[in-house]
Amino acid sequence: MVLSASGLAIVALTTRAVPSDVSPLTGRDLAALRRSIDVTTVAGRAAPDVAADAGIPLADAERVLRLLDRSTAAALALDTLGQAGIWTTTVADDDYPAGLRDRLGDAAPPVLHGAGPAVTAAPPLVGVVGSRDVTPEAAEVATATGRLAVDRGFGVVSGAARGVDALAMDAARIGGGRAVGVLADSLTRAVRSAEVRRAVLDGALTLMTPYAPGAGFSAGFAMGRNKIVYALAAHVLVVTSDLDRGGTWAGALEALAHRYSDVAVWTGRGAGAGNAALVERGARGIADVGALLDGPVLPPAHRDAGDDQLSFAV
Amino acid sequence: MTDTAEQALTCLRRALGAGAWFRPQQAEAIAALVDDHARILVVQRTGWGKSAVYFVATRLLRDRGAGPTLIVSPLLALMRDQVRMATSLGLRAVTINSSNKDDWAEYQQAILDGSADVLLVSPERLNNSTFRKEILEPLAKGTGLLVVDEAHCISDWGHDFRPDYRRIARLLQLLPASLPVLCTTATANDRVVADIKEQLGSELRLFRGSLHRESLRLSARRMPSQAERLAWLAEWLPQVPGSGIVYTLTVHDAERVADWLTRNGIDCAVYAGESEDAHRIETERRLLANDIKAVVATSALGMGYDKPDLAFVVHYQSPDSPIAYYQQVGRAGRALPEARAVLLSGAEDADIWEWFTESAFPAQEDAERLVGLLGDGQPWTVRRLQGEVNVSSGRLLAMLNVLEVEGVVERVGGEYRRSLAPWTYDADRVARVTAQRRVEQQAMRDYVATPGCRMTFLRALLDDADAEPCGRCDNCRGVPLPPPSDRAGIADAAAFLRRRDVSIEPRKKWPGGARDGKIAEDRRLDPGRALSRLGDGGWGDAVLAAKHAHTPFPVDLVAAFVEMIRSWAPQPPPQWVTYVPPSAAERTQVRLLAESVGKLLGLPVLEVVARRRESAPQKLMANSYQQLRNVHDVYEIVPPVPEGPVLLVDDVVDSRWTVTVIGTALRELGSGPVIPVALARTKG
Repeated sequence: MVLSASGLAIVALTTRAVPSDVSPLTGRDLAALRRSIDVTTVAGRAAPDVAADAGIPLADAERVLRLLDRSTAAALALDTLGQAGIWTTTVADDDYPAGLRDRLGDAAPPVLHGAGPAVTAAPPLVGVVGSRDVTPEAAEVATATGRLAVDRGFGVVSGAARGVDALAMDAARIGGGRAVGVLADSLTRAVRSAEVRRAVLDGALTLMTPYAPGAGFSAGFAMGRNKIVYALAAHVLVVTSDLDRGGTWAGALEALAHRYSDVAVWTGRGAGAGNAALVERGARGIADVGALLDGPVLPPAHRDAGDDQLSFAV
Repeated sequence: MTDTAEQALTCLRRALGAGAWFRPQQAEAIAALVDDHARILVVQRTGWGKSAVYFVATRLLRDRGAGPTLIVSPLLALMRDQVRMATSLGLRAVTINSSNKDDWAEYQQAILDGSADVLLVSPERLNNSTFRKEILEPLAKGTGLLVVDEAHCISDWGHDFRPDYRRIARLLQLLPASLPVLCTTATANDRVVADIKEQLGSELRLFRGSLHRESLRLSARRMPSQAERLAWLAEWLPQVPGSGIVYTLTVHDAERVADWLTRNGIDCAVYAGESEDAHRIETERRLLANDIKAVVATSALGMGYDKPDLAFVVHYQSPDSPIAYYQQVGRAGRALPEARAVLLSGAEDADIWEWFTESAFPAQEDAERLVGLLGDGQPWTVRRLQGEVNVSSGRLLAMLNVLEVEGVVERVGGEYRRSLAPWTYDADRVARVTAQRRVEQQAMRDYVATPGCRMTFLRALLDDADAEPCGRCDNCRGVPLPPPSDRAGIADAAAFLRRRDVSIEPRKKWPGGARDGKIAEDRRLDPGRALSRLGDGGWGDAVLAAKHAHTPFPVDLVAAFVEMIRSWAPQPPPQWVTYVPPSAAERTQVRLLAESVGKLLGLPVLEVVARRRESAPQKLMANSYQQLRNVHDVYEIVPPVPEGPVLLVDDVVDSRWTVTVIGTALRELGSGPVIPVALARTKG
């Protein structure tokens, strides 16, 4: 595992996997900073110098320098992860999925950690989202979507939670296809399972996360994860969604608003009120799984850098 | 003079005294680290003063607010010297290693709060996950300077490649370019330098000096027989002034040579990787103080050992690489007008080289099988793996270690499992490195045979060649190294080599698999004895020859065997003799041997052990689990079994499982104590 010089600086600036006495930059902070200055040229310089060069407040420059002091510690942490077979890539590196960079723009996660084959080496992906507790109808839809994806040369991407996520991913793998799971937390725990390890080593499964591999669950993380599932997929099927609440609902609205992907929602047997409401908000209703792949493949959302973030705010 | 150069000189003088000056390239190396935060490779002979470079650089970097220096070095001996040296520069150096666990908490605190300036660790420690998590990662300012000692170990092409260094190389690729890095070695030819550059980045700056040692007087001679070489040592060592090192290729050889020298009144001690820390420290001290004539050592005594007045280095067997050889002799005589480096090349060298070469890498079949088994996602114990993979436990652990360092296997508690990284056996690399080793072995043969200047020959191989003939070596002087002059000495040595009987310790526990648990005390073998080790230069050679030729064991060998049993006089005295029934291939050798033993000792020979089926030769089984499985149901006892103590005769005892299986069966059927005796034990 070799990161570019920018990649290592990005990890040092943003990671929570290494202790820090100032808070690490968010993805948006980082994007703004990278527009102001080449992050590989900052370490070792005086704060006023950096502030002047980048046109940022002195306090911000000091914070950036403090974070970059973690570069060696970050390199050690990455090497330790690499030793366990967990790779790391950043938005500045070649093996970072282009779809995330293009569609999410400044909201793209700066760092990804994962196990298994790189996503850049995967076939186009179909996304599957929905609740953990599934009705028999929803289970059938999830499984059928996984099978369909493989038959048509796609892989499956989901949040790797139990319920529809797991059913769709398993169906893809059983069919001999690829599955990609985007975790909101605890990558290191997820890869303890013997079954997961076998699938990863067989090259059938990739697990990845934008968060520190040891980090625990939080609701904000789950939302951050959802947009990655959407942005990685050519088409996404919402199998079940609550109405006006829950992560699936919020994630689908966000994806529709920002055009992260082609969003379809199940309207066939067993579909509930949340599903119907998503059709009203602009999702493509389908009552036949086969129609999922008929939707438009969105061009990468052209997000003009700096639209919504002009300054690097601490 | 630049500010840095001035400060550096002030610093050096503070440590070494007002008149001190830098040696060539030292000041430049310090400036590269301090001013440019560069990555540099220093190739300089032992004694050039690389520690002055990293301690002065540390002082200056610390004064500029940088984090502490991390020194990675493979040797404990080196670390002890360096801690002392740092103190003279006002630096607090600490080392964290397995021998000072009590101090860890204090040192950890000192490193984190900045009150320690230098941390010395071994490569293994650097790769230890707890050490990284608790000490290196939390360093607020990070490391200020990283020093990698003996950097040639990074290179496959080096004679001394170490898997832990491979991981250091990967870590260096990840570390920020702003971190100054100093790699040092006293041994690297162009190929190794190029390889280090490739792995550490092409911006690596090289500071290379001449490796020439003016005071070294080289000589070499082919002396095939061990008896001749032992006699030569006993004659030569008392005549040569000062203290020095006698290198052997194996621990057994070191022990044998030391035993011989001691019997000849020469004060010496063994130094090997297996020796106790306390013994090694004491031996190093005695050598340093010239309080001992010779240390008989394996290559474990080498890198980093610094004794300016080391008077001689004798090789009892030839190393398999000229670079390794030069490193071992290159440390002699730094502060002496003349130091002797004598290479004796023996008949057994090539066999030992071959063994080293073959065990340098796990066989593809074994590695693939192992990785495949571990790939089931579950953690495995070493014991369970032994049941499935036919390699010795030492070799299995070595394979697991290599695979772990390479990130293929990880340790979970005391067990191993596959990591998540993809892996394929790198057959190309193995072939490439193996071919290179053979080239180097040939170069050693050529070194012994060359009629030209030996120093020129070695320096050319090190790409250090402006070389005029040295005028000192045996070839330049035209005076070949004389063979031992005393025929009686050679005869003594030959007799000594033939009096090397070894014990056969009883097995106390079954390995698991075919049989498990403790062996009850009244079922165990009594302690036994073998006349020799197979191929040991004494009787072991005769045993090997007869086995290869399928001829009866020669009369003098059998007589020596009986004499050994007689003078040993096991208690209680044996009342009858039986033997391990040979396989079809060996037919009569062991029966004839047992009959001779019975006749000469006046004891009856009873054929109470029978072979139920043929079995694979035990020497093909590599670990206890496999060895026991191979023999546990091969033999049966044909009653009646007499009650008295019995001598159980075999030709060669290997794992001891055959004699153990037969011994327990005899005891179960009512025999007295079973005393195993054999012509030879296998090396091991």
